[in-house]
Amino acid sequence: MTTITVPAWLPAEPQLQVTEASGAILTDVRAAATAVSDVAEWARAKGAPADFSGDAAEAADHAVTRFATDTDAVGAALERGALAIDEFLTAMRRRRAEHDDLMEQRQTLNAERDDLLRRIDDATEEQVPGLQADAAQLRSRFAAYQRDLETWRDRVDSDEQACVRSLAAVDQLREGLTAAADRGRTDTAALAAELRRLGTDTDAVNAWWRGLSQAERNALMISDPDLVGNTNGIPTGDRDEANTSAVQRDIEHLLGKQAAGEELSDSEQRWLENARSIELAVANARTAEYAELDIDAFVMSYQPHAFGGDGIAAVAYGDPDTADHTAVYVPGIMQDGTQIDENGLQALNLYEETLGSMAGEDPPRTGSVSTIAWIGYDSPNFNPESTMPWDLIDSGGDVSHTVTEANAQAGGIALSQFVDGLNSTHTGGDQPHLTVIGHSYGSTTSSYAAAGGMDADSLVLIGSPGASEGVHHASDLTMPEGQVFVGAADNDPVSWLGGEDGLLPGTWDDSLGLGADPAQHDFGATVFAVDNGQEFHGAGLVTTGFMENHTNYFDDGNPALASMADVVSGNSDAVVDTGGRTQEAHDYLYDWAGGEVQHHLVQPVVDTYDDVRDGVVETYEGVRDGVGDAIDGAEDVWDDLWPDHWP
Amino acid sequence: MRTALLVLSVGALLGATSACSSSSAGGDEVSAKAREQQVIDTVTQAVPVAQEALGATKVLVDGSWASCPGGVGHRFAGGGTLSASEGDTEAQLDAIRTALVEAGYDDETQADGHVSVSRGEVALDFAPQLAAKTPGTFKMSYQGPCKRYSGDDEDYVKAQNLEGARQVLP
Repeated sequence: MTTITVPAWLPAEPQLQVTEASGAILTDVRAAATAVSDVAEWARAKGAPADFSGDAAEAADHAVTRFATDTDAVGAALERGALAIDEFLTAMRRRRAEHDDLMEQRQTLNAERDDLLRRIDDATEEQVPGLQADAAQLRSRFAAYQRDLETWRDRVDSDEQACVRSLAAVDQLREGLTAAADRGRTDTAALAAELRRLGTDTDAVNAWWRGLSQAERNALMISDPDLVGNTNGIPTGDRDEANTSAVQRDIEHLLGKQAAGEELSDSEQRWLENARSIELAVANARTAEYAELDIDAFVMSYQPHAFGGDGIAAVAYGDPDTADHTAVYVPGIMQDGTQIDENGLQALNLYEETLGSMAGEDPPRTGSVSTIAWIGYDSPNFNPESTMPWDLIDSGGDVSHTVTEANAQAGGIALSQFVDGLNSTHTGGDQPHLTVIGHSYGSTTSSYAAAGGMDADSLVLIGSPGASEGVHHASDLTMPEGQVFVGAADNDPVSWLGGEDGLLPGTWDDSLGLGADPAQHDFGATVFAVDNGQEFHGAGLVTTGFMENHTNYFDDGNPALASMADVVSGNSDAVVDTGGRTQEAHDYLYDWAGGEVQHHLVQPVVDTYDDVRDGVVETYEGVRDGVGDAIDGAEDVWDDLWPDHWP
Repeated sequence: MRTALLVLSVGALLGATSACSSSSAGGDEVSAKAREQQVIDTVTQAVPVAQEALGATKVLVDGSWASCPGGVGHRFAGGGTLSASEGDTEAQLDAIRTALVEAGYDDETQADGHVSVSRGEVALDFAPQLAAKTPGTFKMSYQGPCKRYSGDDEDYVKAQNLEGARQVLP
């Protein structure tokens, strides 16, 4: 009897239980370590109360110093613990990748085994020696796989034991005190000073950060999460870890105060709103709408106290450090750190639309995408719930910035630096394709950055009140040829504000406003189709004009979203140019104002005449005709009074 | 002439903006909870219609209160997915459109590859989610109207906003 020994079918090895989600424990430990570090620093800075003297002062000094030392010991222990967990999670990430490779090998080997069995079933006597040789070779490869699998299991055990040993080494106060006194402990003050010195040189920041040891990076993320999380040039994953710890620290601190019965001050309320908003922005990636896309969210900026408590925030969907296509969305007025969740939804929709449009191409195109909602500048805003004029007084100065470019100018510099950071941290060198999308006042900010040489590949301006002072043509925006795109709804009142002349050309008001209307045909951008929105009267300026027509560019079903997705994915040839506006932006405003005068003043008169004609004098032809003439006359007078264009 | 027009224009703008500064501009005529229920009712009636038209086997929809994109007012909005068999997406979209129009929704589609409908003040959109892990997935999204709320209603929508999304269907 002929025997061919075929190796046994390989069972699947269960995946590790430690997943990316397990990183939450590292965030917890870092947040705790940061809080303890803050307390220790506070204690070190304090001595005995000022009105203590003599023995009492000495005793108090001693007590506070001892408290600071003990707290520092806890901080050092947590720092070691966080490092151990960080190293363990890093190792597990490697092990998961190795596991994936092993399971791929297993699948291949099992498929080859099945194939061999099929060939054996159909074999003739003459084919047996060849099949025995094939089986021997397969057995050898199966054995090599088993050895690799055992080695992998040993590595996992070793990683776990190393982590447990490191944690056990600092689970007593005495050990914490030793860790705190360790001469090899990272000097985080020196590291933080160096990072501040490197400042806005994002390439230098990135090179320096990558040169640090994991222990140094870990220590700095604990001692200075706000610095690490908000410095352009630090890799996105590390910014996210630092910022997520800071968000958690703040939420726990503020909710803890509330739970203790303390009433939060207005600024603390605002602080909490900033923190909760960015927490929601991250959670939004996992709502039902996007659950099928497995989107990773990264907190790229979190500064809740910036701009008088308005806050700075940025969240990325998809990792911009590895993405093939990255977009930065810059919102406009009324947007601050407390609004990052809503703005994140716009970025999420763009993310989904971009990947969808690539998948819908013929043939489908693969590639990774990252879209970022960035509120990194002081957008003019006021309390939107204000109902009385005096409620607006305290924010009136901020509102006034809407008609000046100061905030946009400063914001443009910040945006440019943020983009530099994205270019520095991309693992393949500069970003392969980076688009900046400015909405509303954010379009003026983006234009400012572009005119100043922002290192992006494409620029989209939507609902723009002006493309910033000194920009007269798309070519002034320093983008590659043909890479300036504009969307403006006819019934978006903010897009009526653009224009280099004021309402009284050649006079003082020319200096007001935010620059040329980029949707003009002569501006030279590609103007794509948008949902033009509904016409409106009176209070509809807010409810329809501002709250709908100005803000729906990212809504599903708005043609603007599809065009923006094509730009982001680098498929800008698919964007259809409508040719742009041939009527001045101010004339849209002028027409609307004329419509308002007609709607509120002329039309009621005409309607009254109509009622008289149709109701009372219907039987008297002469009178009826006279009234009809009067109506025509009134409408003619109106047409004469209100010329087609602004005179 | 220019001065007269300027006066009239400024008058019109002031008229509009004075209306804006009044508490009624954009204020909802119904309570936040009633508005939320109206939106949910519209969605829970529309989605089964689309589900049947698609022959979708699984539906998951959630929603939450959120402030409106311009920062003025709040709205109840959300979305989800319908899992159907892979097929001719154009035909599937036509089937959704026909069924929803027959059910009384207004077709307001403007973009290729989408079905956009509305009823009352609720807008809904259906489109294939081509990048989804599961082939045959359709995405749906919906938005209630942006309205300003005050008092208890404002407290309610802000508190709900912080809670994040909650399941609407199934």
